[in-house]
Parts: sequence; structure tokens; C-alpha cells
Amino acid sequence: MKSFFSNQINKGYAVIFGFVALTVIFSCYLMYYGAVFYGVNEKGDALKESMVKKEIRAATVEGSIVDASGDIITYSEEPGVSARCMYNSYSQLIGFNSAMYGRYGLRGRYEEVLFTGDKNHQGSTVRLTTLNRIQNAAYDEIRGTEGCVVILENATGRIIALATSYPGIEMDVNDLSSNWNEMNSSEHDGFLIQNWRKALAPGSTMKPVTATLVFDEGLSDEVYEDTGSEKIGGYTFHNAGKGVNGSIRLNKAIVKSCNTYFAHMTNEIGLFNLKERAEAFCIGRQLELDFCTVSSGHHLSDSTTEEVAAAGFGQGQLLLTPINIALIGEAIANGGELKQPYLIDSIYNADGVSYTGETQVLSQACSREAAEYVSSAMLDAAESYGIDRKLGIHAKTGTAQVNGMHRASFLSFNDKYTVCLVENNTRKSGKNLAGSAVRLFKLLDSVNEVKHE
Amino acid sequence: MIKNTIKDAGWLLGLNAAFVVLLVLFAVNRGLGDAMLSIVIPMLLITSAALFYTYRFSGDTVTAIASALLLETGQMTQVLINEETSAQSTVLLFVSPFLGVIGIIAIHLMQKIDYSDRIKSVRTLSILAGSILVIALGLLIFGRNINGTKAWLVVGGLSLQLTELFKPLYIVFHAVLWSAPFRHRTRFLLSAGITFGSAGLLLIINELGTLLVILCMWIILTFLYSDRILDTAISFGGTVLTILGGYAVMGLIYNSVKKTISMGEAPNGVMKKIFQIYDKLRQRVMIVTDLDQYLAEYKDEASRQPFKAREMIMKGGLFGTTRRTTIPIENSDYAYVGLILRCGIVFAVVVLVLFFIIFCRSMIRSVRISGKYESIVLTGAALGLILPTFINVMGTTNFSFMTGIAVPFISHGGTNMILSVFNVMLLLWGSCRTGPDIAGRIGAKFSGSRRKNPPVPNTIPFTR
Repeated sequence: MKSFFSNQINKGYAVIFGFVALTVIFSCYLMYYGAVFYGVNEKGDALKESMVKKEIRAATVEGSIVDASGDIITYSEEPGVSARCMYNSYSQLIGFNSAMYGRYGLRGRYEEVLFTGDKNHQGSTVRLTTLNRIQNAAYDEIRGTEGCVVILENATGRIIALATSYPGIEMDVNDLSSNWNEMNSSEHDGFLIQNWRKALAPGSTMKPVTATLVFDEGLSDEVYEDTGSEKIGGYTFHNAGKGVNGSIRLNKAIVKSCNTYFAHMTNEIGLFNLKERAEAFCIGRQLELDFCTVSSGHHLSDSTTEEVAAAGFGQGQLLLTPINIALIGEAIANGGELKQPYLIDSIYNADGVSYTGETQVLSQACSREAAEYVSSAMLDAAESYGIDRKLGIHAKTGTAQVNGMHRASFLSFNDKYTVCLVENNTRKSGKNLAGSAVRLFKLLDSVNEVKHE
Repeated sequence: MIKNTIKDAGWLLGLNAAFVVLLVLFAVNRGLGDAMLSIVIPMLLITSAALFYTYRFSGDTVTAIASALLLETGQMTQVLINEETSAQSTVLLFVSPFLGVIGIIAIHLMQKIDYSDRIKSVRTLSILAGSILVIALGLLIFGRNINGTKAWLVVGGLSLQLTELFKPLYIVFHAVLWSAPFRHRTRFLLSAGITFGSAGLLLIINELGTLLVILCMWIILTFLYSDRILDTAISFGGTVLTILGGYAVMGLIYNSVKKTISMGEAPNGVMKKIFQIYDKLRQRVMIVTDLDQYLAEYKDEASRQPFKAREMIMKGGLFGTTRRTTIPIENSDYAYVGLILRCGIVFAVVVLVLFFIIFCRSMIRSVRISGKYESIVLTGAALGLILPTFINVMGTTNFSFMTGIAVPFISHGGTNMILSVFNVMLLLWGSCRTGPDIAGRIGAKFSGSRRKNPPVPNTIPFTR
């Protein structure tokens, strides 16, 4: 050691060697830090990818969103300029894509395709299954309320309209700054208000599900003596308005929306059958759709006897979203076949079509006979709501009690479409929404055909 | 003779290859016209100047050419970063020869210093030490805070980064100190005194880059020129302990003051000053381990530099790009990262290697040279180039903490450029003592007796 320290040449070379080592180590580090070679630095790779994405995005004209007929919903003409939305009825559905406010809704979910440029640096176009005319009309029906409209095409599961609204908030995604404070002060805390994802008690719109079960269990002809009340467990159930229906069968029970009948039948059929049937209708299952995830719940396994009975007519531990309610109508209209709703018709750019939405059968929710029976009863029910039988509309209303207020729902379908209207936090009953449903059906009929590509 | 000529020719070919890489990358980024104007013409001028120096003084041709390449790379980097037009970049054509002239003047000034006897050495040492203290105190009183450090003196609209003068003054101080016949202990104490004295003053004006350079220089010079292991141990251990201990003590004071403030009480003056210094230090010497967390904590533009710098390195990749990311102080502290963005990691490593070549050549010559004074000047000047380079590039690339020091030749700034050239001139001046290389030999062959031998100062030889 001492000889090393007394020899200056050795020490000089030691210093040189130190710097050689530093240069080599640093050069390697630089390549690692800069994520030059893919797969070596995972965090760096992720950062690099997000950076590239950001750059591509800045150089790409945001892709358009169009309806099924090709009518424009959002469009942009310049790279880096956020697309403009043409209709407020779509605001909560398509959402926004903003550096300041974040990315939500369809524009958040499909950010990558909307900013994946073709040879002209134009992002891909996302074609929806909706029709602007129907969407706008649906939105007009619920504007100013905490409402939601879901319209499905029975044969395919295509979503023709999906509108949502909130009192006092007219969201304009083209000018987020002006209503951002309003959005943040609402219970939704700045996120999009998508009532189709809000799961609450469905009320009597659950009865068609129980009815299919009653039919399939061979109890449809069993006569029930309705005295206006039914005691199950420690709880006495009553009909709405304390009504008494006398001797009734399933058909009349649906038309009269008899709570005691369905509580009695559910108690007879039992928890496991109801649970199985509910799940066949996608209740209590998580639905992964192409634009959002819808969660509903039944908690039947943890319920008491009276809670299970209450679930039979749409109260108790049941939580359904408007999409779940619409699916009940769609399945009955399709003879028990439940088809997955979808919103994205196709995604394409100048280089070709990259995605096409397809019809998928989720389950055979009930027997065809049960579906036809319930469908027929719902036609009678629609007539009892004052809807002209000639219109061919089948319907069932629902009015659930939620925190002292109503959740009014109106489930209806004809041979082509299912229309579900829901209004939360209201004093209305489901029957009050019948007029809106009829107007929407008439409008749907006036649209000659939905163009598919 | 033949063997040496082949070896030197090999070096020159290697350096020319680097020049070609530089030219191609510049042409890709800016077009061939700009490349010719911004690189080829100035390169010819500066190469001629470099060859002239080596012919005149028998200096190291490789060092001269490598320095010329670095000087040209620096100008190219500034042109690329500032997106200057061709017309503006032509102005830069004259910068290199101008700096060359300054270098010649510097060499002649160096030759005139006579430090042969002890009395004159003490006087020289006093002048040098006094200069360092005057600069530090001057900055403390009159210094202007630019980019977080009070290292600037503004006179009539002209900004001078006076702390740049610390490095050459420190080198020459040590060269005189170690070559003068002082007693060992006196020499070491003087060396430690000037090191920690200037380090303390630099700490107060928040010039951490120069502080770090001086501390590293002290450790390496002690290691190289002291025969006693204890000196090296003291310089290394003392420095590390002082830095870590000081930082820890300041941290404790910081936390205690923070607690006092949170209790609604006012801290006393000294404690508050230490609190403020530590707060600045803490932010400046931070090594960002989690960029996401860092970005969540520091939202202002200047604090996003490490993130942006990383973006630039990623974008630059191996061979550079025309994609842009803007970053504050890109032409100065982050010039090396700016170079990576535009010319790629490969070229940036080539630049490091050029610095390294200069360093190696000078170190090898420094251990072969006969005088201790020349040897220390050579080593010190080589360290003066390579240490700021490494400290800067490692800080800006998050390899170590960021101190905000300029990269010689590459970063923007007249003071930096002049001092970098002065450093090279010291290297060339030192190298001319170790025998002629290719240019010197060719020069001698053609000029014969007309070629003047370089003046050799009266030096005190040291034994190996």
C-alpha cells in the first residue's frame, strides 16, 4: 500500500481507471434511464409509451363519434383541439377528454382509438348504435329530472338511445369550465352523471322476472285469494294503495301489480329458485359492456324470509340499474333469450375497419312459453295504463320507495324495441312515465329502418 | 519516430470519425447547408488554430483537436437548442478563433510567472488565495442571483459568472503550493484551509456545483501528490464527513425550526438562516427516485425539470430526434440533455469520451512530466474539464444530485467558454513539456531551425 502511494504513476493510472469505470457505468445507466432497449426498464418503458401516446395525440385530429346513420355526434378539425360535441343529450355518455379535467365516458374509454391516426393523422371514427333523433327525444323526455332512458333493439341488443339527466345540470362538454363547479358541488363529485349505472330498488318492474318463474314452476293457474295483505315471517305485506284484488291468477296479478300475490308466490317457490332466475336475467352479475361496467345486486343469500318475499315484487335487498330493468323487457320480448346490449357499432379509419360490434346471447333467462305468457300479461297491463292496445306496447310500471322518495320506472317493449324510463328522487309513480314511453315508441316507428353497416 | 507517428495518426483518424458523426447528425437535424456553415468552416478554422498551437509549442495535437471538436459541439448544441437561423450561426464562426487568440494570450501569461524561490511563491500564493477570497466575498455582497445561485456579477449589462474563476485559481494555487518547498504539514493545512474556506463561501452563495468540483479536486490532488496515505484519508474522510455531518446537522436544525414555526413561534436569526440554506439545499441535492411522487409534490415548471429531462433522453434515444420538448435553462444546465435529445445517446457518449481522451492524455503526460508545477497544472486543468462535465451530466440525468453547474464548452455562457479554453491552454502548455507529437515533429521537419523552442520556466523538479 505504501509503495503504491509513493508511486505517482500508479496513482495516476488509478485515477484514470476510476474515471473509465465511471464513464462505462454512466453510459450503461444512460441507456437504462432513457429506456433505450425495450424490456430492460419496465417503468421507463411505460413512461416512454405514455410519452409517445401523448405526442401522437398532439399530432392527431381526434376521431369523430357518429350515430348509426353516420350523423356526427363529435368532431374535430385540428390536431390537439378537443372535439366538439353536437348534442347535449350525449354529454354524459361520450364524456370528455381534457388535460385539465381528466378523461371520462366514451372519449376516455376509447381515447386510444380516437387518437390512433391513419395515414392522414386522423383518429379513428367510432360509430355508435344510437340514433341522434331518438337520443335527443329521449333526453328531452327526462330533462330537468334525475332520470334515465334506455332503448334497446330486441333482436340484436343494440342500444338505440341512452340518455341521462340531473336536475339543475345541463352539462356542456364543450365548455367544461363553466359548469365544473356545479358538477363538483353535486353528489357526483365531478364525475359524469350516468344514471344508467345507478343501482336502486326496481319496484314492480321486477315482477315480470318473478312471473316467469311462477309460470315455469307451473303455478300460473293457481288461484290466490288476495285480501290486501300477506303475512310472511314477522312482516305483513300490502298492495299499493291498500288495494284488494280477490281471487287472482298470475295474469291478473301482473296487470294489477299485486304485491301480496308475488310475495306469497316467492315464499312458496323459495330463495334458491328466485336467486337462480334473477341471475339468469343478469341480476346480481357484473355486466361488462363495451362502454361501461354495470353492477347490480340481490343479496338474496343473506336475506331473511320476508326480504326474499319482498324481492319477489322488487323491494327488499334488490338493486337494479336501468340497464338491468331494460334487459328484463328485452329478454321477455325475445322469448326468454337475453342479448347483451352494445353501443359500439364499429370503429374504422382510412386504413379499414378495426372493430365491429356483434350480437351476443348472454343467457336463456326463462322458457319461451313463460316469456310469451308474461308478454301477453304485460300487453294487458299496458292497456290498463291507458296505452292503446293497437300500438302493440307491452308494459310494466314500477314505483319503489327509496329514502322516502320514489324511484319510478316504466318498462315497455314492442316487437322491435324495449324502452325503459327511470326517474329517481321523485314523487311520480311509474305510470306517470307511460306518456313519455308512448311518444318514444311512436318516434321509433316513424324511423323506417336503422341503417346497419 | 514511425511508431509514434502511426499512433498519433490513429488518434487523429479516430477524432475525425467523431467529427464525421457530428457532421452527419447535424446535417440530419438541420440540413446540409447549415451543417457546412455551422461545422465545416469553423472546424477548419479551429483545427488550423489547434495545429498552430501544437506546432508552435509542441503541445498535444490530440488534446487540441479533441478540444476543438468539443468547442464546435458546444456551438452546434447552442445553435440546435436556440433554433438559430443560419445568419445567426455564422456569427458563431468567429467565436472559436477569437477564443483561440485568448488562449494564446493565456499561454504567454502563464510562461511569464516566475515562482522559483520561496518568497515569490508565498507572494503568489497570497495573491491567488486573496483573489479567491475577494471573488467569494464580492459575490456575497454584490452577486446577482441567477437560476438559484448568487454566482453572477453584472457590470454594465455584462453578466460574468465569477465562480468559474475559482477553478483555475484553485489549480494554480495548488500547483504553486505543492511545488514550493513548504513543510509537509504547512502545505496540507494551507491546502485544506483554502479548500474549506472557499467551500464555505460557495455554500453560502448556493454554488454547489463549483463547491463539489473543488472538493473532488482537493481529494484527487491530495491522493496524487501527497506521499502520505493519511493525507488522502483525511481529505476523503474529512470531506465526506463534513458534507454528510453538515447536511445532517442542518437537517436537524431545519426540523427543529419547522417545529418552532408550526407551533406559531418565530425562530431566531441564525437558525432561520440555516433553515433557509438547508431548504434550498434539500431541493437542489434531491435525487428523484420516484418521479410520479415527485411530480405530485412539485408542480411548478422549474421543478419539473428532472421529468422533462428524462422525456428528452427517451425521445432522443440512441441517435437523436427532431421531436421537441422544452425545458427551462436548456441552453445552460440542461445543455447535455438537449444534446441527447437532438443527437442521441451515442453522440452524447462520444462527447463524454472526447472529454475523457483529453483527461487521459493530460493525466498520462502529468505523471511523465519533470516539474511538479506543470504536473499539477496539467492534472488540475484536466480535472477542471472532466469534473464539471461528470457532475453536470450525472445530475441532469438523475444519476446523482443536481447541482446546476455548466458543462465546459457545451453549456451556454461566455465565462464558461473562456475558462474552458483557458483550461485547454493550460493543458497544451503543460503538454509541450513532454516532447513533440505528430504536429510538432512535422513542424520541426519543415521549419528546421526557424522553429522556436518553447520557453521553459524555472521549475522545481520533484522525485518519483
